[in-house]
Amino acid sequence: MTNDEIISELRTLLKKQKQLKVDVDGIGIETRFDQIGFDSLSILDFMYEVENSFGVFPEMVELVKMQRVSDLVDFLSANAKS
Amino acid sequence: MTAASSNEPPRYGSGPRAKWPTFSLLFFANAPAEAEIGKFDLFRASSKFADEHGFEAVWIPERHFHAFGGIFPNPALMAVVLAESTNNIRIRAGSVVMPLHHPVRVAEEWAVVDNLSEGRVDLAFAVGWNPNDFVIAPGNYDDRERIMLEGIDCVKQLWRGEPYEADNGKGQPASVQVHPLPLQKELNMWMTCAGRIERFVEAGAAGYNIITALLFQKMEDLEEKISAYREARQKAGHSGPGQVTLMLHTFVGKDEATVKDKVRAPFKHYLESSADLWQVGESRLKDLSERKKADMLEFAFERYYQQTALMGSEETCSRIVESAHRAGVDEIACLIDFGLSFAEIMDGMKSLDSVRREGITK
Repeated sequence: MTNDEIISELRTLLKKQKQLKVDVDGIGIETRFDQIGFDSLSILDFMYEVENSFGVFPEMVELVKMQRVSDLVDFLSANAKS
Repeated sequence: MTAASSNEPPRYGSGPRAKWPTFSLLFFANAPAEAEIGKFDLFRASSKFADEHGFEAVWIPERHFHAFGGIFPNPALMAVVLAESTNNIRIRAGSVVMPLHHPVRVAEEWAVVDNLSEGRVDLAFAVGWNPNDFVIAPGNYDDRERIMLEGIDCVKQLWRGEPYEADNGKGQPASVQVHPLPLQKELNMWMTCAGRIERFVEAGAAGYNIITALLFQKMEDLEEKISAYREARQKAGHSGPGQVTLMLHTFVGKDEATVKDKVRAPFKHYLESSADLWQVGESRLKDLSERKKADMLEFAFERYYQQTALMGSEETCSRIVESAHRAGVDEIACLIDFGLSFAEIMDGMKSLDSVRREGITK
């Protein structure tokens, strides 16, 4: 998968997160997670969807370090099973 | 015991900032409220260590009705223990929940401690956030901010020996004075600031020091708020930058991996019982699926450990202290009792003291 394909899929998954008040189409590679408005519940809900799509879930120690979409994209690019 | 000094104790926050924060202990105690011998052993032993090694203060909380910190419902009582068992360390309420008390009683109790301790009392004040705490004073909940501010002013006046004027039991105007008079002529005072920048600015304008935590804010956000606090202080004409005290969950050890392994289980348990208090979003932790509950705790642990705790090797912790100091923090109040064993905590005190002592050579 290319990075663009990964981001496109992430946007689709973000759109499913109804409680997030954010313009999903405006989200790009440099968007920060705190701009997306995740809290500890919603980030997990999102990451379970990511797991369903990409077949992989990061270690919590790594997830906590992720600040931007690019960090997640890098992780998925290196580890995704689909 | 040292002889009573004729000099007034330091005016915290009135002088220039030091090059390294000072270190204090702060207790919270995730201990069950059931009867059990030895509940206060850690309090005594670690306070004694802190006193003997030159820590700045011991902060005692006021917590009601919950196993989470519930063994400290009245800081003045624990302060008497410290007055009798320590010689040098400052004895601080962190904090008096002002709307739960009559200001006359606050002034009386702490004046007693000030005498017993030969002038070592400092006080922080909080507004109170848990509605259940207000079973003690139900009429004070709605207006608690104003009541706190008025209460602090009243305590200040009574401390100086000024009369308290109010109606007595017969509805007649009475004028009373608090006894005993404290040893210190003026009180060092702190205001507890949780996250809202307005509270930081209020505290600055009023000339208080501040005590805060990284519960509802990150270190980066804190820097901005401390600046606003100092600006408000300066604008209102108060001398000195004010003292900023930051509460941090603390455990320092010899190496990173060992520390993280040691703290993982007790700290997660601590977070779990505190989540019960804070209520994550709309749902409580116990209503979630097993996986989600486990993941949330693991996520919370990692986030707290990496971003808001003073935990790790001496080197890691030095870097954290440095970044706190850069953000404007002057004093680290170390929350040491989040669940490790007595022996582990006392062992960790030596490494904590090493980090503290870096300030001596700076």
